[in-house]
Amino acid sequence: MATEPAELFSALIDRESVDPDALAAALEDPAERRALVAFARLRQDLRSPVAGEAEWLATRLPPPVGGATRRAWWLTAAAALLAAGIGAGVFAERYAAQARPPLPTRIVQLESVSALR
Amino acid sequence: MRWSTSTTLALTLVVSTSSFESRAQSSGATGQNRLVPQLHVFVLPGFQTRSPALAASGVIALAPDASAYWAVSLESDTRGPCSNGLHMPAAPLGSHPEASAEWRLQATPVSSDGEQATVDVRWERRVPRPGLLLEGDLVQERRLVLRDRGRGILDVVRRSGNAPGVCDSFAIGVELRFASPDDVEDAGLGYDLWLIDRASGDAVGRARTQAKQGADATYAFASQKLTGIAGEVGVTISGTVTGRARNDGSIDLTFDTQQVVARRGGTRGDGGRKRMPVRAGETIEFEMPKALKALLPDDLQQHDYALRVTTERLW
Repeated sequence: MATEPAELFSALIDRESVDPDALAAALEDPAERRALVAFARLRQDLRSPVAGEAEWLATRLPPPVGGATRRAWWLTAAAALLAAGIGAGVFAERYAAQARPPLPTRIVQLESVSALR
Repeated sequence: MRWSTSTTLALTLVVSTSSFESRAQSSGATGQNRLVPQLHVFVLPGFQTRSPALAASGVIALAPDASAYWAVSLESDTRGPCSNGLHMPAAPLGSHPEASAEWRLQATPVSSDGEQATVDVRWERRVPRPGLLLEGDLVQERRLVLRDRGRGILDVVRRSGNAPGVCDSFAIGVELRFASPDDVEDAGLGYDLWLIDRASGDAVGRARTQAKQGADATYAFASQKLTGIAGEVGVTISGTVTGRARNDGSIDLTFDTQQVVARRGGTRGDGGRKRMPVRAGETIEFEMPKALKALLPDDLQQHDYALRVTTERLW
């Protein structure tokens, strides 16, 4: 647990647990009280928006997470439909090709085996 | 020499020689092909063998350069019933006194035209231990005219009574095949076959089969049921297709088909054959010979079957 005044104040502002007696002793000193006030002011300054920050954020930040998920889902669904369509077309083409014999390049008469004897 | 060794040696001789090439070569879009006849010698021991396994047979290259290997010797039952051995060059008869029978087979090429070869075959059988077999010693000579893939049995011996350690029967046979130095060493060939009934123009059956270079691939279609005046007739078409891929990219195709017509009173069958060069991916329609068309009853002869075959190189 922090005991130095500066560490005490820093821990206090960060919502950590501090020794109340050590805090009380530190606040007895005016210089330490000014230091605590300076800590509080610094934290306030850090949390206040900078001029123009809201406008900058509006143009630069990515869209909300929920929107991205929806868009990805639509893209995936579209890709799946496209793949299924192509696959069905290829299957249908191959099935049609397999269901009928290829055309011959030559027609040849077999010789009778009994005539060969 | 063992089966595998002799086969390899003989095939090497076949591939390396070109001086006994056929004069009437296969013609067509795919160019010339140098063909050399080779005689496969196989055995049929007992009644358990499905078919002669030519991959394990001896191969006699019927080329002058290979004349030292035109003779082979065989013996039966040396290492138990139905065991067998083959030797190239041939061992003299009497080398295996423990065998039930020994053979020496000599083949001499006479002529070859690329479709068939004429071969003088002389074989001598010796039975070292009388009483084991019904047959005795024998010497025979025959002039055989063999078409490509034609095969037959030359000689057979049978066990006498219950003679111990002897196969029920033991046959030796030969088959002629043509090989070519233009053939690739290893290839896989696929065949897509369609059965067409020209009466309707429809494809009524489809079969796919495949085999390695030079090996037989069998095919069969479901039986076609036709109804005629005399009742139902069944037509069954099946066969064998063999391809040899060549270095120029073409394929030497041998196509065989067998048609059996079954109707009331019995069955009738006949076959057709064609050997021709094709291009990889080419589709050929084979028409049945008239002898096969005549198997159908008169009122059903409008069913004119044809086979459409696409040959593909698989590897």
